[in-house]
Amino acid sequence: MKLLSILVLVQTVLVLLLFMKIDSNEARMAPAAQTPAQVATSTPLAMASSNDESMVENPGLSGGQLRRIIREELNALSASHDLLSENPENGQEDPVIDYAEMQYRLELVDEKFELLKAQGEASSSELESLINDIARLDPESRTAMMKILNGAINRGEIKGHL
Amino acid sequence: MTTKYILILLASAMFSLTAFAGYSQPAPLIIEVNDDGSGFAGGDVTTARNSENEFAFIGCGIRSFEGGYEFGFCQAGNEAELSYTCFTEDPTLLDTINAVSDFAYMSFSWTDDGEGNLTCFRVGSSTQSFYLEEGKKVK
Repeated sequence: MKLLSILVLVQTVLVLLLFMKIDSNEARMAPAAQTPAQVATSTPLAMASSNDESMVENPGLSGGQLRRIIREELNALSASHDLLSENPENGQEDPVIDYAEMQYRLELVDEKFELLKAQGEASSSELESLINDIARLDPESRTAMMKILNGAINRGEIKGHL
Repeated sequence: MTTKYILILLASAMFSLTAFAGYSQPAPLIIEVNDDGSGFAGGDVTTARNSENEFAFIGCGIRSFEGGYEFGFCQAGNEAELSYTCFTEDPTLLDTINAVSDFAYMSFSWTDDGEGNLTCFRVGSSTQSFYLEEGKKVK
């Protein structure tokens, strides 16, 4: 009973810490959402084609802003967390997530993505190469980058097909 | 005599045509987009490929990576520089995409988060003889 109470208390503290982290992240991203007019005119996501019925001009975070936030999160995690842990079943250590390596991979993806956007179009092999690099990111960065790529393809910023 | 041979020839030709006929029901590509950016696309791949519209296409695909990461996508277009590509990691949809066969009719639906990120939420396929190209054998 005593052990159970202690576990509940620890769990409550962890949940509170998580909510505090979420709040601080929302507070950090709030300025970008508060000035939709400014973002809409400066972001590369602004729609140009009037014939494209499916592409809605959205003043949300640009791809560059999102990638910058991902990089900052990786840096913060790298500085404050140690993910080396032991597997209780077989005693083996879980592989260390090298945040410097992840940072490098994200920058590589960023670079390729910007190159394709500058080209305006991409061959199937170029898209496959970019996706292969995205697949090597950590899950959260991978999901975010796939969304960014998806959006760029559908908005016509990168013309190409898988 | 000549008339007889001509009639036999015509009868043979008609027989050949009926041997490669059968019910045909092509499904031309349809793309419908709603005001919120969500939409639907459907059509059989043979008709899309043989369409007079040089921009018509539809298809789905899947990519698998070591470590378990997998994603699928469906895409369709019928105008120059205008197409729709949705992504999914849903296991059920990935199974459906994996099961799509040649010469199939396929359809998919997507939602739009408002920034052009299209997520597939439905994928369907149907393999029927009437989607094959009329009058030709499958090689």
